[in-house]
Amino acid sequence: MRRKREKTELLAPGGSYEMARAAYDAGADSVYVGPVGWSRRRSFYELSDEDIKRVIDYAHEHGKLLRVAMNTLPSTWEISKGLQKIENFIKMGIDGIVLTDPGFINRVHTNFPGLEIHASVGCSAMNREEFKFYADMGIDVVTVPTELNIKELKQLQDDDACGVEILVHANRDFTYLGRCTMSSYFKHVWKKASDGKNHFHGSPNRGGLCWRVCKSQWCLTEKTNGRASEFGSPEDLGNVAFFLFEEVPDYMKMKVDCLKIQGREYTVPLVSDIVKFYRELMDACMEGQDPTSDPEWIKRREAMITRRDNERDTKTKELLNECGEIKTTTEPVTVGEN
Amino acid sequence: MANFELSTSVFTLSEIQRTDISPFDSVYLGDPFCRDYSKNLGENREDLKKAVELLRSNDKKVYVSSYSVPRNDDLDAAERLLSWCEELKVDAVEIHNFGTLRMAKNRHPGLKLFVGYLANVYTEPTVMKLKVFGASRIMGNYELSMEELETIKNNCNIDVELLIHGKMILGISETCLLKRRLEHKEDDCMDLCRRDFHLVSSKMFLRTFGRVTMSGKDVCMIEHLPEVIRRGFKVFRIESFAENRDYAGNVGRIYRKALEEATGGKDFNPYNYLPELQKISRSNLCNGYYFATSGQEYVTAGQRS
Repeated sequence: MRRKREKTELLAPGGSYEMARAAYDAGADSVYVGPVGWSRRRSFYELSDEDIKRVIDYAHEHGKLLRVAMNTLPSTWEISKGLQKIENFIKMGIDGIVLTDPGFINRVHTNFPGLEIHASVGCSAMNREEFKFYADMGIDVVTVPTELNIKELKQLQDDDACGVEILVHANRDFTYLGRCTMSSYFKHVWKKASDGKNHFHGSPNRGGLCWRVCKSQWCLTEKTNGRASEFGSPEDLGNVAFFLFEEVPDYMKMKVDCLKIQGREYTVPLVSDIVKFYRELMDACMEGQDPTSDPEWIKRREAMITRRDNERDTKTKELLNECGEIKTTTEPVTVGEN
Repeated sequence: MANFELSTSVFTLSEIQRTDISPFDSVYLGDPFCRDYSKNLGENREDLKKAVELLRSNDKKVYVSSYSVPRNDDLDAAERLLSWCEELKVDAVEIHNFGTLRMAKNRHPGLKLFVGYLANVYTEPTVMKLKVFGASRIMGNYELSMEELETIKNNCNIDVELLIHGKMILGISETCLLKRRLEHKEDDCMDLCRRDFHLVSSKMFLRTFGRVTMSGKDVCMIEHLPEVIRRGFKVFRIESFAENRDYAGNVGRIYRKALEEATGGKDFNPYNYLPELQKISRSNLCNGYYFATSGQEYVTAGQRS
């Protein structure tokens, strides 16, 4: 039976030890970090086990929680390695874990029944029967897909099969998250590290790094009788960062389990300011206020969105440059175009 | 009796009526990507019944694909489709969503259940749990390598179906890209996805089917059939729903003959078939992720040996 929260938890990103510390200082109740190779971000934003221990110590000194995201879809061959890693994290004192693979979730739940498990947004758990399935596996709280509307969120909250965690700062992908392999179709390298960990470079599901190919410019064309005609001008496929505000008072009234801020790839000062914004907003809501029409709050949010978008655009350009053009191995004779 | 099963998927009644299904042992009926498409067999009981009868009269096994991304409001339709499948005594239902699987297991214990490629099956522990929920066949996520799939097949003692030719689904979206880009406002989408739309960027070439985005290249495993068979795979799919009307029959006939040769101890030379498959495919070929490369790469049999 899952542990009920007394109040909504504010969960913030820890893309580095410094970011985790800044997030706690800015008012986060909890932080999530990814161990190298195991979370849905590239290794630059993941932490060594030693740094995870430092974050745990800092969190517990300040009465806060640390959740470890091991939410890649692992290879069959590394499940036991993952279980050993989690056992080690439990000894280090983590407060919870974030997972995606249903079988792995169930093994973790069976081996460590007291450990709180969150289902990653990568599960794309989108209906009440699926929530029951994940509850069967041992999930306490599900991060819901960004596509779900308030009616659906209320239904899932009322059903109470699992707790509801909502992404307040994240991006809505072109596809349902966790259901996309466009990046690894373009470029994917599988390497096995000396410690036996498989690294799937270019697969967001398996290794974290996404080349964001959906953000390059795509032209829609139709082929008829061997001729191609173009429709409209090239544009990206749609992958939009959001910063929820007006919705937050409703979520607080619903007493959802968790509001999560994504953004391990942003700078520490920006993450710190975003956490502070949501901390103050949630506290105001808990005191019965609704600041969402206050011009000062609106201005503050808009300024942060501008900073966030600038950082994101730079990052997208870097990724699209880094992934470059595909180097293919020998291809059969070309027929048609590509 | 051949010791393999060759399958394809068909989404509407008119498509099944004009497809040459003779090379196939079984057919998956229904569009698992879009509930708005009015001709979707998964949404029309009478059409589904006719399609089932057509397949039965041709002595084919009948599978039905259910909607892959059901939200709460879609669950009644999922339940309705499961009831139709039970009533029509189809051979199995392909399910891409763990919620639908749980419903099927609890409410329709008589149905045979397969788990599809959009369910994101990656590991052996997951397949072991899915077996508890009644799954007797799975397609792993396309990102799995041949070695991983073989491990799962052997350790879980379950049928693992392979996409052996055709386009891979690379992602499914909440809304239709074609309706959005073409500013199509009417509810009736007028067969937009049946037209030959592609997405082209400086980096890649993809096929779009509105709700799903697909590989621009066709997966082609003809050169690798000996390895596939040596690894013990027996169930194969040719994905043909986004192709012209002759594709399924033409590609199916080639693979039927090739598989009969390769499994029957006869001389098998893939290069007797490769040029024809290249011609039919209209774009380059690839091997998906079977050999742990980028999805769009092609690996020759020579490079594997």
